[in-house]
Amino acid sequence: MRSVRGFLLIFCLMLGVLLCLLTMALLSQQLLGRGSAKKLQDLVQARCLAEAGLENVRMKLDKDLRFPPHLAPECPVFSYSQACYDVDDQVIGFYKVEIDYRLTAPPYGLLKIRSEGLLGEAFQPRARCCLRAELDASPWDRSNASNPNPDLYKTLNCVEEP
Amino acid sequence: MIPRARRTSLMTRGLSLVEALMANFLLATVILGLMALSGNALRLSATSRAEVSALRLAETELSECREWLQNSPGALASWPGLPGLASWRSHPDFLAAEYRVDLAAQPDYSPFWQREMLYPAGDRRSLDHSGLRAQVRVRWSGGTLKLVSLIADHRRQWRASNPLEISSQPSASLTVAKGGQLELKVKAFNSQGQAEPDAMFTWSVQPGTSCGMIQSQSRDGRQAIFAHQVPKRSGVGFISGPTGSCFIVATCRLWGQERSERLLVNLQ
Repeated sequence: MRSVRGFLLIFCLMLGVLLCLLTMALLSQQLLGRGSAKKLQDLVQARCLAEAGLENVRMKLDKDLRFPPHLAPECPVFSYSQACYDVDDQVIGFYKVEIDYRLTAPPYGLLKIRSEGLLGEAFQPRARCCLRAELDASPWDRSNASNPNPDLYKTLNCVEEP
Repeated sequence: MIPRARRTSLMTRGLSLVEALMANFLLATVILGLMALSGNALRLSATSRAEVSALRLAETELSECREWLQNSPGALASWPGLPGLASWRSHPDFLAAEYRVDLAAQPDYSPFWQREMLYPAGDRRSLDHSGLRAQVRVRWSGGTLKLVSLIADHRRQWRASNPLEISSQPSASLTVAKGGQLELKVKAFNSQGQAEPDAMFTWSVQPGTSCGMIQSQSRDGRQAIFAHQVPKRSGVGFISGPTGSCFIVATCRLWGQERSERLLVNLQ
């Protein structure tokens, strides 16, 4: 008869190894989840910065007769970037805005805005989010061309770049 | 002397018990260690859930703040008195966390060219009253987080009559002597009768029976100097026009709609 001495130790060792593997798998999964939660927080802040860029463009479009400046026919895109501060004047991140006015003339009447939010350093951001918006730049009401546009620069479309 | 077979049997008796004890001891050690690791894993899981929940709360409050500012006509002027501002509050849907909303004025400028930032702060085309910085902080037992964004002002309508008002210095009369100057200021008014801050203007002169020129204007167009002179047609220098009158025109665009105001000036 074959000897079965020592099988219990081997069995316990194998069971212990199996339990270790399962626990390590669970632990690594939770660590990944924790990292994802941190990353999600950074992404949401980056999106808020991109939205801040869109709001900044709206402020300027609403109040400034000469905005955006038309630099030259060969340069139909105007861009600028600004820092975003919290209430204690600490820099949170930056937003870079590009305004493309190639389609503002009839029949399109569209102003295309691209706002990129950068969390942290401008050149090495921790997270970035890009929003593309199209604003209604038609001087006339799209449903009735004899009336002036009652809601100029209304946001027609806003999507997040993947 | 013990026979060999019996000696072997004696040596192996009790080894099963020792083996079982060692196995139990080993298994208990492994399980205790793994329990500690599992506790850490569960704690990590709870922390992640709490962070995501706090993030949702912060996002919700930020969007509510944006909605309030953009849908309430007098919000930008009255925000310091907003109830609940700058104080920690709890949310009925997020009982384990507290949140706090802080607002601050957002000084800004409009880049006519990209080098606008190179001008001194007082000479920039300022937009200091057209938006707010919004900050939402959330705290819970496991930590804190902060979300910051910018919210533009509510869009209004022009005042129906006299949307622009031009004032001049000296104001006694709108008569300018030859070679004289007139200091001009202009304001824009919204449908609530309030002077709209941060509006920008352009100036021009419409010739009538005489003509003058806008000698200079501030970068934002809120002030200008009109001079009773025009450039010489040939050569360098200026000459004064004949006695007559002309119009000074200020133009402003707010919320996509342009308005102008003309001021009749008598030129001696």
